[in-house]
Amino acid sequence: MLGGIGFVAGLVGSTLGIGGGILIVPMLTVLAHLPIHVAIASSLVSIVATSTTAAATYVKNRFANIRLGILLEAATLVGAISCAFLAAYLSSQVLGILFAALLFYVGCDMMVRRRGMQEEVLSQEDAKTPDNAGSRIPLYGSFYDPSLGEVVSYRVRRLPHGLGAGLLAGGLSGLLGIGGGVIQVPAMNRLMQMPIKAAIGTSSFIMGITALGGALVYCLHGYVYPVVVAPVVIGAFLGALLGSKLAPKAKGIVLRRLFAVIIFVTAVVMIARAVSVGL
Amino acid sequence: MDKDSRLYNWLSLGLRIAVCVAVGLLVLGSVLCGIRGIEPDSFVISLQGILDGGPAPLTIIAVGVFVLLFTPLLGIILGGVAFALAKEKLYLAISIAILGLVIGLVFARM
Repeated sequence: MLGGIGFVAGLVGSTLGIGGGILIVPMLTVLAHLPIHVAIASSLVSIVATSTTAAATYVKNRFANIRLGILLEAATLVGAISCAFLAAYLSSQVLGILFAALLFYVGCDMMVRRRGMQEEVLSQEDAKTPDNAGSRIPLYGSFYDPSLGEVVSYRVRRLPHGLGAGLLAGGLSGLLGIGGGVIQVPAMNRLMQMPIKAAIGTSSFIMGITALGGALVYCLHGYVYPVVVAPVVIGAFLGALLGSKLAPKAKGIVLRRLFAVIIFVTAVVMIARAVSVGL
Repeated sequence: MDKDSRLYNWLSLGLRIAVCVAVGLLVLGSVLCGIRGIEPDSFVISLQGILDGGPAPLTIIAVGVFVLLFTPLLGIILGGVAFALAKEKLYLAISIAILGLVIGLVFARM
Protein backbone atom coordinates (compact mmCIF):
# COMPACT_ATOMS: atom_id res chain seq x y z
CA MET A 1 0.00 0.00 0.00
CA LEU A 2 2.77 2.45 0.90
CA GLY A 3 4.51 1.76 -2.42
CA GLY A 4 1.20 2.37 -4.21
CA ILE A 5 0.77 5.71 -2.43
CA GLY A 6 4.28 6.75 -3.46
CA PHE A 7 3.63 5.60 -7.03
CA VAL A 8 0.34 7.51 -7.35
CA ALA A 9 1.88 10.64 -5.81
CA GLY A 10 4.91 10.46 -8.13
CA LEU A 11 2.76 9.73 -11.20
CA VAL A 12 0.11 12.42 -10.61
CA GLY A 13 2.67 14.93 -9.31
CA SER A 14 4.97 14.72 -12.29
CA THR A 15 2.10 14.50 -14.82
CA LEU A 16 0.58 17.71 -13.44
CA GLY A 17 3.91 19.38 -12.71
CA ILE A 18 3.33 19.69 -8.96
CA GLY A 19 5.45 18.29 -6.16
CA GLY A 20 4.65 14.86 -4.78
CA GLY A 21 4.67 16.10 -1.18
CA ILE A 22 1.30 17.77 -1.54
CA LEU A 23 -0.11 14.27 -2.21
CA ILE A 24 2.10 11.99 -0.12
CA VAL A 25 1.41 13.64 3.24
CA PRO A 26 -2.42 13.52 3.07
CA MET A 27 -2.44 10.00 1.57
CA LEU A 28 -0.12 8.64 4.26
CA THR A 29 -2.17 10.22 7.03
CA VAL A 30 -5.69 9.66 5.67
CA LEU A 31 -5.26 6.31 3.88
CA ALA A 32 -2.38 4.65 5.77
CA HIS A 33 -3.24 6.24 9.15
CA LEU A 34 0.36 7.21 9.85
CA PRO A 35 1.24 10.01 12.28
CA ILE A 36 1.64 13.27 10.36
CA HIS A 37 5.26 13.78 11.50
CA VAL A 38 6.21 10.38 10.00
CA ALA A 39 4.28 11.25 6.81
CA ILE A 40 6.09 14.59 6.49
CA ALA A 41 9.49 12.95 7.03
CA SER A 42 8.77 10.26 4.41
CA SER A 43 7.49 12.88 2.01
CA LEU A 44 10.68 14.96 2.34
CA VAL A 45 12.90 11.95 1.58
CA SER A 46 10.84 11.04 -1.49
CA ILE A 47 10.93 14.67 -2.69
CA VAL A 48 14.74 14.43 -2.71
CA ALA A 49 14.45 11.43 -5.06
CA THR A 50 11.86 12.89 -7.45
CA SER A 51 13.22 16.45 -7.56
CA THR A 52 16.81 15.28 -8.04
CA THR A 53 15.77 13.01 -10.90
CA ALA A 54 13.97 15.94 -12.54
CA ALA A 55 16.87 18.30 -11.76
CA ALA A 56 19.33 16.00 -13.56
CA THR A 57 17.38 16.60 -16.78
CA TYR A 58 16.88 20.31 -16.18
CA VAL A 59 20.58 20.80 -15.38
CA LYS A 60 21.63 19.03 -18.58
CA ASN A 61 19.40 21.15 -20.84
CA ARG A 62 20.36 24.31 -18.89
CA PHE A 63 16.82 25.11 -17.70
CA ALA A 64 18.24 25.12 -14.16
CA ASN A 65 20.32 28.18 -13.28
CA ILE A 66 22.95 26.85 -10.87
CA ARG A 67 24.24 30.23 -9.66
CA LEU A 68 20.76 31.47 -8.81
CA GLY A 69 19.92 28.04 -7.39
CA ILE A 70 22.84 28.17 -4.94
CA LEU A 71 21.90 31.69 -3.82
CA LEU A 72 18.29 30.70 -3.20
CA GLU A 73 19.27 27.39 -1.58
CA ALA A 74 20.89 29.35 1.23
CA ALA A 75 17.51 30.95 1.99
CA THR A 76 15.38 27.81 1.53
CA LEU A 77 17.75 25.70 3.64
CA VAL A 78 17.62 28.12 6.58
CA GLY A 79 13.81 28.26 6.31
CA ALA A 80 13.48 24.47 6.05
CA ILE A 81 15.76 23.67 9.00
CA SER A 82 14.16 26.30 11.27
CA CYS A 83 10.60 25.23 10.51
CA ALA A 84 11.40 21.50 10.70
CA PHE A 85 12.63 22.08 14.27
CA LEU A 86 9.44 24.08 14.93
CA ALA A 87 7.25 21.28 13.49
CA ALA A 88 8.55 18.83 16.09
CA TYR A 89 6.91 21.00 18.77
CA LEU A 90 3.58 21.42 16.97
CA SER A 91 0.73 18.99 17.55
CA SER A 92 -0.61 16.72 14.81
CA GLN A 93 -3.86 18.69 14.85
CA VAL A 94 -2.12 22.01 14.19
CA LEU A 95 0.00 20.54 11.40
CA GLY A 96 -3.08 18.87 9.89
CA ILE A 97 -5.00 22.15 9.79
CA LEU A 98 -1.99 24.04 8.37
CA PHE A 99 -1.63 21.38 5.68
CA ALA A 100 -5.34 21.59 4.84
CA ALA A 101 -4.98 25.38 4.46
CA LEU A 102 -2.08 24.79 2.07
CA LEU A 103 -4.23 22.31 0.10
CA PHE A 104 -6.96 24.94 -0.28
CA TYR A 105 -4.39 27.41 -1.60
CA VAL A 106 -2.98 24.89 -4.09
CA GLY A 107 -6.49 23.80 -5.15
CA CYS A 108 -7.54 27.43 -5.82
CA ASP A 109 -4.29 28.04 -7.71
CA MET A 110 -4.94 24.98 -9.89
CA MET A 111 -8.50 26.08 -10.60
CA VAL A 112 -7.60 29.58 -11.75
CA ARG A 113 -3.95 29.28 -12.76
CA ARG A 114 -2.98 31.53 -15.59
CA ARG A 115 -0.17 30.84 -17.95
CA GLY A 116 3.24 32.23 -17.09
CA MET A 117 3.66 35.97 -17.45
CA GLN A 118 4.63 37.54 -20.74
CA GLU A 119 8.31 36.74 -20.95
CA GLU A 120 10.90 39.28 -21.89
CA VAL A 121 13.10 37.98 -24.69
CA LEU A 122 16.64 39.34 -24.62
CA SER A 123 19.69 38.78 -26.73
CA GLN A 124 22.51 36.98 -24.89
CA GLU A 125 24.55 40.21 -24.71
CA ASP A 126 21.58 42.26 -23.44
CA ALA A 127 20.89 39.65 -20.76
CA LYS A 128 24.43 40.11 -19.39
CA THR A 129 24.10 43.92 -19.22
CA PRO A 130 23.06 45.17 -15.78
CA ASP A 131 20.08 47.52 -15.66
CA ASN A 132 18.51 49.76 -13.04
CA ALA A 133 15.85 47.21 -12.17
CA GLY A 134 18.42 44.46 -11.69
CA SER A 135 20.06 43.55 -8.40
CA ARG A 136 23.67 44.29 -7.44
CA ILE A 137 24.57 40.69 -8.21
CA PRO A 138 24.37 40.23 -11.98
CA LEU A 139 22.43 37.05 -12.71
CA TYR A 140 21.45 35.92 -16.15
CA GLY A 141 21.03 32.72 -18.07
CA SER A 142 20.13 31.19 -21.38
CA PHE A 143 18.89 27.85 -22.64
CA TYR A 144 17.73 26.28 -25.87
CA ASP A 145 13.94 26.00 -25.91
CA PRO A 146 12.98 23.13 -28.25
CA SER A 147 9.33 24.25 -28.43
CA LEU A 148 10.42 27.67 -29.77
CA GLY A 149 13.39 26.32 -31.69
CA GLU A 150 15.64 29.10 -30.38
CA VAL A 151 17.93 30.11 -27.52
CA VAL A 152 16.07 32.01 -24.78
CA SER A 153 18.15 34.49 -22.76
CA TYR A 154 16.93 36.18 -19.60
CA ARG A 155 18.04 38.45 -16.79
CA VAL A 156 17.10 37.68 -13.19
CA ARG A 157 15.47 40.62 -11.39
CA ARG A 158 14.47 41.38 -7.80
CA LEU A 159 16.81 38.94 -6.09
CA PRO A 160 15.84 40.13 -2.56
CA HIS A 161 12.19 39.26 -3.32
CA GLY A 162 13.34 35.84 -4.52
CA LEU A 163 15.34 35.28 -1.34
CA GLY A 164 12.26 36.18 0.72
CA ALA A 165 10.12 33.76 -1.27
CA GLY A 166 12.85 31.13 -0.84
CA LEU A 167 12.77 31.55 2.93
CA LEU A 168 8.98 31.11 2.90
CA ALA A 169 9.13 28.11 0.55
CA GLY A 170 11.81 26.48 2.70
CA GLY A 171 9.76 27.14 5.82
CA LEU A 172 6.68 25.47 4.33
CA SER A 173 8.84 22.57 3.18
CA GLY A 174 10.28 21.92 6.63
CA LEU A 175 6.94 22.44 8.34
CA LEU A 176 4.63 20.49 6.03
CA GLY A 177 6.83 18.15 3.96
CA ILE A 178 6.32 19.76 0.57
CA GLY A 179 9.01 20.69 -1.97
CA GLY A 180 8.21 24.39 -2.00
CA GLY A 181 7.69 24.62 -5.76
CA VAL A 182 4.19 26.06 -5.24
CA ILE A 183 5.90 29.20 -3.88
CA GLN A 184 9.21 29.15 -5.75
CA VAL A 185 8.01 28.74 -9.32
CA PRO A 186 5.48 31.62 -9.28
CA ALA A 187 7.99 33.81 -7.43
CA MET A 188 10.74 33.19 -9.98
CA ASN A 189 8.38 33.57 -12.91
CA ARG A 190 6.31 36.56 -11.80
CA LEU A 191 8.61 38.45 -9.39
CA MET A 192 12.04 37.64 -10.78
CA GLN A 193 10.78 37.62 -14.37
CA MET A 194 12.41 34.35 -15.35
CA PRO A 195 11.00 32.24 -18.19
CA ILE A 196 8.69 29.56 -16.79
CA LYS A 197 10.97 26.71 -17.93
CA ALA A 198 13.96 28.25 -16.17
CA ALA A 199 11.81 28.80 -13.06
CA ILE A 200 10.68 25.14 -12.98
CA GLY A 201 14.22 23.85 -13.68
CA THR A 202 15.85 26.02 -11.03
CA SER A 203 13.10 25.20 -8.53
CA SER A 204 13.73 21.45 -9.03
CA PHE A 205 17.45 22.01 -8.45
CA ILE A 206 16.74 23.90 -5.21
CA MET A 207 14.09 21.48 -3.94
CA GLY A 208 16.57 18.66 -3.26
CA ILE A 209 18.66 20.74 -0.84
CA THR A 210 15.54 22.22 0.76
CA ALA A 211 14.01 18.80 1.39
CA LEU A 212 17.40 17.48 2.58
CA GLY A 213 17.53 20.14 5.31
CA GLY A 214 14.06 19.29 6.59
CA ALA A 215 14.58 15.52 6.27
CA LEU A 216 17.79 15.62 8.35
CA VAL A 217 15.96 17.39 11.17
CA TYR A 218 13.18 14.76 11.08
CA CYS A 219 15.93 12.08 11.12
CA LEU A 220 17.33 13.68 14.28
CA HIS A 221 13.89 13.47 15.88
CA GLY A 222 13.50 9.78 14.90
CA TYR A 223 10.61 10.12 12.44
CA VAL A 224 12.25 8.34 9.46
CA TYR A 225 11.28 4.65 9.46
CA PRO A 226 12.77 2.30 6.84
CA VAL A 227 9.55 0.32 6.54
CA VAL A 228 7.71 3.50 5.49
CA VAL A 229 10.39 5.41 3.61
CA ALA A 230 11.67 2.62 1.36
CA PRO A 231 8.37 1.70 -0.36
CA VAL A 232 7.23 5.34 -0.60
CA VAL A 233 10.50 6.48 -2.20
CA ILE A 234 10.66 3.52 -4.61
CA GLY A 235 7.00 4.05 -5.61
CA ALA A 236 7.41 7.82 -6.02
CA PHE A 237 10.58 7.36 -8.10
CA LEU A 238 8.88 4.89 -10.47
CA GLY A 239 5.68 6.98 -10.61
CA ALA A 240 7.63 10.13 -11.45
CA LEU A 241 9.50 8.32 -14.25
CA LEU A 242 6.21 7.19 -15.79
CA GLY A 243 4.58 10.58 -15.18
CA SER A 244 7.35 12.41 -17.04
CA LYS A 245 6.51 10.27 -20.11
CA LEU A 246 2.75 10.87 -19.76
CA ALA A 247 2.98 14.61 -19.05
CA PRO A 248 3.20 15.78 -22.68
CA LYS A 249 0.07 13.76 -23.55
CA ALA A 250 -2.02 14.81 -20.55
CA LYS A 251 -5.11 17.00 -21.10
CA GLY A 252 -3.81 19.76 -18.86
CA ILE A 253 -6.78 21.94 -17.96
CA VAL A 254 -9.37 19.17 -17.40
CA LEU A 255 -6.93 17.10 -15.36
CA ARG A 256 -5.90 20.07 -13.23
CA ARG A 257 -9.49 21.04 -12.38
CA LEU A 258 -10.45 17.45 -11.58
CA PHE A 259 -7.41 17.18 -9.38
CA ALA A 260 -8.25 20.50 -7.69
CA VAL A 261 -11.61 19.02 -6.62
CA ILE A 262 -9.82 15.98 -5.14
CA ILE A 263 -7.49 18.35 -3.28
CA PHE A 264 -10.44 20.28 -1.81
CA VAL A 265 -12.09 17.05 -0.62
CA THR A 266 -8.77 15.90 0.92
CA ALA A 267 -8.42 19.25 2.70
CA VAL A 268 -11.91 18.90 4.20
CA VAL A 269 -11.15 15.32 5.33
CA MET A 270 -7.87 16.44 6.94
CA ILE A 271 -9.58 19.27 8.81
CA ALA A 272 -12.38 16.95 9.95
CA ARG A 273 -9.86 14.39 11.24
CA ALA A 274 -7.73 17.04 12.94
CA VAL A 275 -10.73 18.62 14.67
CA SER A 276 -12.62 15.45 15.66
CA VAL A 277 -10.30 12.52 16.29
CA GLY A 278 -6.83 13.95 15.76
CA LEU A 279 -4.41 12.71 13.13
CA MET B 1 32.48 23.23 -24.83
CA ASP B 2 32.70 26.04 -22.22
CA LYS B 3 33.41 25.47 -18.52
CA ASP B 4 29.77 25.94 -17.55
CA SER B 5 28.62 23.29 -20.04
CA ARG B 6 31.10 20.80 -18.58
CA LEU B 7 29.87 21.59 -15.06
CA TYR B 8 26.23 21.13 -16.08
CA ASN B 9 26.94 17.83 -17.89
CA TRP B 10 28.99 16.33 -15.04
CA LEU B 11 26.44 17.42 -12.49
CA SER B 12 23.53 15.94 -14.46
CA LEU B 13 25.36 12.62 -14.80
CA GLY B 14 26.37 12.57 -11.13
CA LEU B 15 22.80 13.24 -9.95
CA ARG B 16 21.39 10.45 -12.13
CA ILE B 17 23.95 7.89 -10.96
CA ALA B 18 23.57 8.78 -7.28
CA VAL B 19 19.75 8.59 -7.33
CA CYS B 20 19.87 5.22 -9.14
CA VAL B 21 22.39 3.85 -6.58
CA ALA B 22 20.23 5.08 -3.69
CA VAL B 23 16.99 3.64 -5.09
CA GLY B 24 18.86 0.39 -5.89
CA LEU B 25 19.95 0.13 -2.23
CA LEU B 26 16.38 0.76 -1.06
CA VAL B 27 15.07 -1.98 -3.38
CA LEU B 28 17.80 -4.40 -2.25
CA GLY B 29 17.15 -3.70 1.43
CA SER B 30 13.38 -4.07 0.98
CA VAL B 31 13.74 -7.37 -0.91
CA LEU B 32 16.11 -8.74 1.77
CA CYS B 33 13.66 -7.64 4.48
CA GLY B 34 10.94 -9.59 2.68
CA ILE B 35 13.11 -12.70 2.18
CA ARG B 36 14.40 -12.81 5.76
CA GLY B 37 11.06 -11.78 7.25
CA ILE B 38 12.66 -9.05 9.35
CA GLU B 39 10.30 -7.05 11.52
CA PRO B 40 11.52 -3.46 11.53
CA ASP B 41 10.17 -2.79 15.05
CA SER B 42 11.48 0.53 16.26
CA PHE B 43 14.51 0.82 13.95
CA VAL B 44 14.67 4.45 12.82
CA ILE B 45 17.04 5.81 10.22
CA SER B 46 19.98 7.78 11.60
CA LEU B 47 23.71 8.00 10.96
CA GLN B 48 24.35 6.75 14.50
CA GLY B 49 22.04 3.78 13.81
CA ILE B 50 24.12 2.83 10.76
CA LEU B 51 27.39 3.02 12.73
CA ASP B 52 25.92 1.06 15.64
CA GLY B 53 24.84 -1.68 13.25
CA GLY B 54 21.52 -3.47 13.02
CA PRO B 55 19.86 -6.09 10.85
CA ALA B 56 21.70 -5.91 7.49
CA PRO B 57 18.61 -5.24 5.31
CA LEU B 58 17.55 -2.30 7.48
CA THR B 59 21.10 -0.94 7.49
CA ILE B 60 21.14 -1.20 3.68
CA ILE B 61 17.90 0.82 3.54
CA ALA B 62 19.36 3.38 5.96
CA VAL B 63 22.52 3.71 3.81
CA GLY B 64 20.31 4.09 0.73
CA VAL B 65 18.34 6.89 2.41
CA PHE B 66 21.55 8.74 3.31
CA VAL B 67 23.01 8.31 -0.19
CA LEU B 68 19.75 9.75 -1.50
CA LEU B 69 19.72 12.63 0.98
CA PHE B 70 23.31 13.60 0.20
CA THR B 71 22.80 13.46 -3.58
CA PRO B 72 21.70 17.11 -3.90
CA LEU B 73 24.98 18.10 -2.21
CA LEU B 74 26.73 17.04 -5.43
CA GLY B 75 25.41 20.26 -6.96
CA ILE B 76 26.97 22.26 -4.16
CA ILE B 77 30.29 20.38 -4.24
CA LEU B 78 30.77 20.38 -8.02
CA GLY B 79 29.49 23.97 -8.20
CA GLY B 80 31.87 24.97 -5.39
CA VAL B 81 34.86 23.47 -7.22
CA ALA B 82 33.87 25.23 -10.45
CA PHE B 83 33.40 28.55 -8.60
CA ALA B 84 36.79 28.14 -6.88
CA LEU B 85 38.50 27.55 -10.24
CA ALA B 86 36.68 30.55 -11.75
CA LYS B 87 37.44 32.66 -8.62
CA GLU B 88 33.76 33.47 -8.09
CA LYS B 89 34.15 34.17 -4.39
CA LEU B 90 30.51 34.93 -3.56
CA TYR B 91 29.18 31.62 -4.89
CA LEU B 92 32.12 29.72 -3.39
CA ALA B 93 31.40 31.24 0.04
CA ILE B 94 27.69 30.39 -0.17
CA SER B 95 28.48 26.82 -1.31
CA ILE B 96 30.82 26.36 1.68
CA ALA B 97 28.23 27.84 4.06
CA ILE B 98 25.52 25.46 2.80
CA LEU B 99 27.86 22.47 3.08
CA GLY B 100 28.86 23.54 6.61
CA LEU B 101 25.22 23.87 7.66
CA VAL B 102 24.30 20.41 6.36
CA ILE B 103 27.40 18.72 7.81
CA GLY B 104 26.72 20.42 11.15
CA LEU B 105 23.18 19.04 11.09
CA VAL B 106 24.35 15.52 10.23
CA PHE B 107 26.75 15.39 13.17
CA ALA B 108 24.46 17.34 15.52
CA ARG B 109 23.72 14.38 17.78
CA MET B 110 26.71 12.14 17.18
